[in-house]
Amino acid sequence: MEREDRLFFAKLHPGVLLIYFLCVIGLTMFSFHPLFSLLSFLGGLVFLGFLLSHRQWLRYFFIDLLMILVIAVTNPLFSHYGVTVLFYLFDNPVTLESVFYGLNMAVMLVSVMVWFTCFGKIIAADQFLYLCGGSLPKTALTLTMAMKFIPQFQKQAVRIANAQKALGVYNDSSKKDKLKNQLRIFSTLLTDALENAVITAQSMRSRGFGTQKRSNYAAYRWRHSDFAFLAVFLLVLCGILFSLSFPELHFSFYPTIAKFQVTPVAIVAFCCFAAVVFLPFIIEVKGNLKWKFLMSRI
Amino acid sequence: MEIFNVKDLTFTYPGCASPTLNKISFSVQTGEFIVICGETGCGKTTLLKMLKPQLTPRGQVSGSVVYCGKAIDENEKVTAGSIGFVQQNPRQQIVADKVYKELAFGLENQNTDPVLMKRKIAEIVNWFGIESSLHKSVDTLSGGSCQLLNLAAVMVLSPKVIILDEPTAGLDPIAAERLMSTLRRLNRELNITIILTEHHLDAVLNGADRLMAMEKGEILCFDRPKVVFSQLRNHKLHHVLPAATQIFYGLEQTGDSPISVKEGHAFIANRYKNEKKSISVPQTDIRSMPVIQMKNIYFRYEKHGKDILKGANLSVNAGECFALLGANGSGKSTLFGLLSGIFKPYSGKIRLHGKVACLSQYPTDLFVHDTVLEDFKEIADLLKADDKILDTLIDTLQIRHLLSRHPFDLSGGEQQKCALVKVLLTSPQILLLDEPTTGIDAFSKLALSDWMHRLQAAGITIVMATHDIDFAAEHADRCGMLFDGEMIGIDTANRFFSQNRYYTTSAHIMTQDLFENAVTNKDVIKLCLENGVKS
Repeated sequence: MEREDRLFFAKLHPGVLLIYFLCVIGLTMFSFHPLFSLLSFLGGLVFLGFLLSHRQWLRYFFIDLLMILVIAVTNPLFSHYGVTVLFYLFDNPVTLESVFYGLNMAVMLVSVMVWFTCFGKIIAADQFLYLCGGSLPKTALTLTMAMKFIPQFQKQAVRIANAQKALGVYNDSSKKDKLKNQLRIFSTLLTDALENAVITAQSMRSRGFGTQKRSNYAAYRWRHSDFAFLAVFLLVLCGILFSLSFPELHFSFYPTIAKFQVTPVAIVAFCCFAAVVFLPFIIEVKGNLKWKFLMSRI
Repeated sequence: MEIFNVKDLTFTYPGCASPTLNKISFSVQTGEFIVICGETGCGKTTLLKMLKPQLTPRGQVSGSVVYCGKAIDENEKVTAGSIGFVQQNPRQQIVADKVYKELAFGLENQNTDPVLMKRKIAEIVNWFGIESSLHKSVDTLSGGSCQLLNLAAVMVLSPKVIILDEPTAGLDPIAAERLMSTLRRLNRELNITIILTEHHLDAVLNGADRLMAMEKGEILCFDRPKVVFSQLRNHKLHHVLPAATQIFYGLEQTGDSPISVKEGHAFIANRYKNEKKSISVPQTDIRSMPVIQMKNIYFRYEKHGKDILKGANLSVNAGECFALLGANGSGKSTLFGLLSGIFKPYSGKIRLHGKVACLSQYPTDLFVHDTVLEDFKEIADLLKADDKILDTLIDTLQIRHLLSRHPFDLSGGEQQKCALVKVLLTSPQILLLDEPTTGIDAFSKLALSDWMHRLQAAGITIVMATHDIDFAAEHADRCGMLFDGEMIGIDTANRFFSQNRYYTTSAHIMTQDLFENAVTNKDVIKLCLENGVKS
């Protein structure tokens, strides 16, 4: 998959992006606070608006709503905790608390999904490997080679299958025959792959692989904006983590739904979290406005 | 300055009785362009690998290889970069998934500083003009582009010398010429020493300083191309000579031979009369029994994809050899897929009279077992064929000595013959050959034409898809070209090539303003002899 590099947010260093996404996804999952879940869901969704076409986004949005509904309905059918019984279904109580618990869980899960979609669109395998390259150089190289190998393997498989089919000898009427044919193709493919691996190894060796410590190609440079972003982000993150240690941000559904507490600490935490999840959206809007402004001056 | 000095180099592979290289001595100067030719198995590849310590095979070595004044195996770190090596298979040599990563690979191995690395890559990308494909996945590149990438990936390491082992073997003529012209530029503009082995001397000799002919692990001669040619004139290696040179020796001339088309034309025009302009082509008896009839074939791979074939018509008669020509991606393989029933056209009719079998461009695709014989036996059992049929086939193609070998260990020509036996066991009446001349040497090509004629004599119809114009001109009865989804110019080989001005044989290009229909080297020689020498 090609990377979305026309986005302003994606221009940040992949390392910064990785930290950002991991933190947002982590916070969403472990805060387990309804407002956090909701904010995260909305933040992810508006950012996704820049990554998908309108039609794709709408479809995505409806699928999300549907999933939320399904999970929210499923939870009370299996979980009967809580004291406020709404009604009985097949002699089992359906409680208000478990309905809300399910709803919160659903929003949380779906927003994690949304963020992973953004993550996949912004950080392609390439950047991911680049990030591994520093700490796990051998793993990164192996994965890079695997990614070159897979499409080549697929093409070869089709070619070999066609060549053997064109021979017109092998039966493919029964399932057993089909399996045999697959094995035959696989056997050829494997020998071919081993043969190719020898050539690749020679090519690596002849270009000095294994003679000394390797360096890593720096496809991305750390810019001032990366450091600035990271500093601000980490500061806000510390604030959120600190406020999460206060009891008013520990929300519980069982046995009764906790009271929604609005204290100064909570307000700071909500604002900080909102700032974090809407950050990509804000950067994008700001970039677009600046672009329009620059264009209007030409 | 001397870059390589090889003295009395003898090399024996473990378990081999006779040495693969026998007392080889030669030296190479900086900035030379050297071409090595010889039959498959003559030790060319082994010799090249002896010049690259990272690839030197295990075995018994005596003698010495000196690189820039020092023993070659002295400093592995230096030779990894300063001696570049490019092999035959374009795709298999690539390590990374993206073009820029492939270019960075060698520099990363040398622990190059990232800032310097980027600059070196930028230089190479600009020199090769491949900026547009920098972020592409390597699997989207064509074979020719892959080979250029391999060359570029070696060039980033600032080598003094580049060694290439049959770099154009699997490429079509246009991609091959592009690679060769890049090599000539490297040699002329950057003074990089080039040593390469090659089967098709026509393409490489332009720009070569010296030519080495090898036979059975020894150097036959090593000198300027013209001098080497004069020594090869009666040797069996004379098949690898360029068309102009072959015509020159075919006319029993002595002295400096012409090499290029230009020189060939000058030689014929100055020396021979051209009163008789055309050669009489023996009329092949018209066998109007078509075994393949394709009418208005339309085909595409995907519903919304573009048409590969747009109303292609083709009819091939029983017992003839038809050559299907056309550029890469013109749909030759697709047409074969349709004929062998792998694909179905969405419009149009295909009528086949007789069983079709297809020999793929990659013969190894057909091998499943560990020995050639097991592979044959499997097919024979499936078809409940008589052992006698298999025996006769093995004898006709002279591959009895290969039966116990692993199919992947054979040379390109041998693999082709073994795959052919497998295909022929199905007793087809129509044989499709996909690029039969790619990746095999000049001698296997002779063997190929030989068995093709024998199959034809046995009544088998042959359709071959090929880039090899000279081969088609000499051995096909009729030719046609796939262009823009249609079959065009279907005619007898002689008329097809004599009416083309550019897409034709070197022999015809050389003589098209002197003679009307001299298409092959033999035609030119015959016409020259009939016309006689100018007084």
